[in-house]
Amino acid sequence: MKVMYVLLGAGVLLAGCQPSAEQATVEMAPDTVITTTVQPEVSYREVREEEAVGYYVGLFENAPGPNGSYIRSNKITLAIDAMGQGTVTGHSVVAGNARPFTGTYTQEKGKFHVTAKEPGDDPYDGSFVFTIAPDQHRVEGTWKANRTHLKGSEKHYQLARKNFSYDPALTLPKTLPGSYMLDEQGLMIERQGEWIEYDDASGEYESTSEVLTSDILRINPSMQILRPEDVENMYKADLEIIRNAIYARHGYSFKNKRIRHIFDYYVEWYMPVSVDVRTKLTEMEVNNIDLIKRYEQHAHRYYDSFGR
Amino acid sequence: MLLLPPNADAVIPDKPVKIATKTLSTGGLLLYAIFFGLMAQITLQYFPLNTDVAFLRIKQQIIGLTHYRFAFFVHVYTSMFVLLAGFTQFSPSLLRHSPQWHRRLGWLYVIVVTGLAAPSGLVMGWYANGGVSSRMAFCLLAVLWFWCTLKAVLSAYRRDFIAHRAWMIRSFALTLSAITLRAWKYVLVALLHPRPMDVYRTVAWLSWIGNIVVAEIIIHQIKKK
Repeated sequence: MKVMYVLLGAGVLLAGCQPSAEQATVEMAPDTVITTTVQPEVSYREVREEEAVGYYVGLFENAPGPNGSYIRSNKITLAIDAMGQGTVTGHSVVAGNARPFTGTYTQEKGKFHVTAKEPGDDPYDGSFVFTIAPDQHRVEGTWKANRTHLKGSEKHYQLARKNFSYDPALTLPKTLPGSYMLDEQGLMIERQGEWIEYDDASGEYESTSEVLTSDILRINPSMQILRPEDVENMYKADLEIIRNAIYARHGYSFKNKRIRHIFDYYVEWYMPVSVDVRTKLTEMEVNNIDLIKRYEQHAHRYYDSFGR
Repeated sequence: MLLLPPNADAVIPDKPVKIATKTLSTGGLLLYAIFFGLMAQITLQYFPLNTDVAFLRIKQQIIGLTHYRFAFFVHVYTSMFVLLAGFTQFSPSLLRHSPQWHRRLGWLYVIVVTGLAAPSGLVMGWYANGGVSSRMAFCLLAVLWFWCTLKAVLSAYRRDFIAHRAWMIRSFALTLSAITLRAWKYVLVALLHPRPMDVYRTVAWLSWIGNIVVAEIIIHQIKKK
């Protein structure tokens, strides 16, 4: 008899437990606490525009060319000149060109997101889309030319914040001596429509190349007055480099791609900030440049020819 | 023509040898003409008169000195006449058929060398690039050039034509240093790629010492006959 009651009770209980097909209701006691794993809410601080203003330097990189070939990049300085009320103005200096840009920005998660355009009256103008991260002192983004059919019409860049100041004591890096300076063609030469790197082993452009020597580490025309005896026995390539290093110290953006390549890739302190530094040269530098140029031209014209 | 004595026809009866020697001489003359042309090109750089052109571009510290400026332009403007002598003075046929022209052109050579080109060369040598070594080389060259040319004309005056010929070979060998200096420089640079002043210091000596050695060998060969 008792067994039957238990069984009946269990059956009733079981019948009550069975959920219906339509609804699955979980009946809980009112004071049950649910704890689930949730990501902690990150709070980004409000960044101020003044923190973003300044210079950012790095390579203005190309997307790989057709057939995956490498197209040489130039160093760029992206300058944020003013930011406020949602508008930003700045300018960029790269490969001997300085162009302004204006645009708008928003702030999100401690970074500024900028969209800006260059004036558009220059055939090489384009537009920027980038992010400024003031805490990391970085700028990252892309650029697209207005005329998309041009070579190198899309670029990307990751720039680091860098202050510019003229320092006459800056010397050339110890890694530079031993590198080749090529005549006119440059270290990267264009062959059959693609950029390829000069190959020392095959010695393709050997006949017109000169190797840089350690002379370029010894002589700093921004720090010492040069005499003819200092420069008369120097190789032409060395003379050319130490002369251009003067301009590089002033942040000159080189139009000459041979020289530009050397400073963009080998010289860490170099950053292009100006397309004309003539008025910035010190008197010592001006005199040294004249002296170096004389011997440089003499070597260029007469070193490997019949003349004296 | 350089190696044939004045009485070549009598001394060398063998026709094939004479033809071979004549061909070599003509070839040599042609080569000389080419170098003469190159030197003329270099000289033309200094017309019209300009103190800041070519070689003078690296002599700006001293081009202000009047005596240097004077010496430089005298040397550059007159030396071509000296080189002209190479075409005529060693020609046996000219000597045989027009001895008066040999003498006239000879006097031109002597006067220009001893009166103009050598003295101006000495002044320039004093201010030569490259330090004491090259200055010594060029000054010594100028002095020897003057000396050999003087001895040559004095021998002719005494009618000692064997000595005249020997001294003139020496004198002209030194004249040729203008050409050999540049030729050596070209070769050294192409082969060794040395530093600019190191090359210069080398060719300042090499250019004329090499020539004098060859000259002595030639004189010796002639004396043997």
